[in-house]
Amino acid sequence: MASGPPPTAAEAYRPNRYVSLPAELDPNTYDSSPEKRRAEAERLAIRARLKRQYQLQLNNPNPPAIIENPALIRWDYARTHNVYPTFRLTPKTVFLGAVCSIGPLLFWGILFKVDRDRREKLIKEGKYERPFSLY
Amino acid sequence: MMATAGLRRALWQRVAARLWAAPPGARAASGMSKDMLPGPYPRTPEERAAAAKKYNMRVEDYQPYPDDGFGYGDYPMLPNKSHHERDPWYQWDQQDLRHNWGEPMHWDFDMYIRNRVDTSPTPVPWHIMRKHFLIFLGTMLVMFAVGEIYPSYRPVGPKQYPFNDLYLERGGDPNKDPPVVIHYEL
Repeated sequence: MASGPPPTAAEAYRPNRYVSLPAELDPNTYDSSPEKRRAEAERLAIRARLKRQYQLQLNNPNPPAIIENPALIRWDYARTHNVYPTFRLTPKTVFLGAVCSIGPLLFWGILFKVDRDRREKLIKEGKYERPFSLY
Repeated sequence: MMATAGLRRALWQRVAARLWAAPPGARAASGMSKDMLPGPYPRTPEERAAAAKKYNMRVEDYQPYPDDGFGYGDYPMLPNKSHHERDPWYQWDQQDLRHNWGEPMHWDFDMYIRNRVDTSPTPVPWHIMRKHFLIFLGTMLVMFAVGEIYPSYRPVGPKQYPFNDLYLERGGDPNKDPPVVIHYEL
């Protein structure tokens, strides 16, 4: 059975965690409906409002000492102060915590112990070939 | 005795005053009230609408991280796109960061800046690049492993040392005649 022509570059493209899909290949961006347009208009309105607020502060003849960015303050707060209050113990978090904290300790401890016991046994039997000279 | 007791009481009073003036858990009174800061995961539709308004997003666009207890709270989940992909020709408020004032920032914003991770679409699809790379790496590793197990080199003989097989350097008696060592046969 003869297969068809090879897939074009556009058809062969697959986005994943590391690369995103360009807008030219995304069918959601092709034909815009009235709902999409209204959504875009609302987003533009929010953006314009924020820009106006910022530009008014920026071009103020008596500008404030610092124009704080509430989005930045919220981002910083969410990543530093809001993690502990919103964290709770679920099977997933308990499992991940154990894997990341207790796992490496147990792993390396057991590995070193087993290796040292094996070497000790070989030395006691006199079969250990020393890699470095003792004198 | 009385002087040291008085001194100690003065020190305790200073510690107590500091604790009363700024008890543990106090925050600086900057411009944001508690309802403008991130909070716990929104459960009711009213909480979702309030959170969307807080983050300057449309209610339909606002999507918090799933409530898995990982500590995200009500922070919005934005698409995982780096700032390399944002329009370089648009007049951003902060042109180098390609970020507008007040726009909700991605949780991993500091990872997606233009000095760091780039998620731009690649000319060759990722899975083809990965396949080619793994084929090359696998072939090289297999060849190196085979070369280690079955080494192949020109024929060699044992190393020959001069001066009668280094007789004096190996601690031989200088007064005696060294044994003559010949490395060839006729």
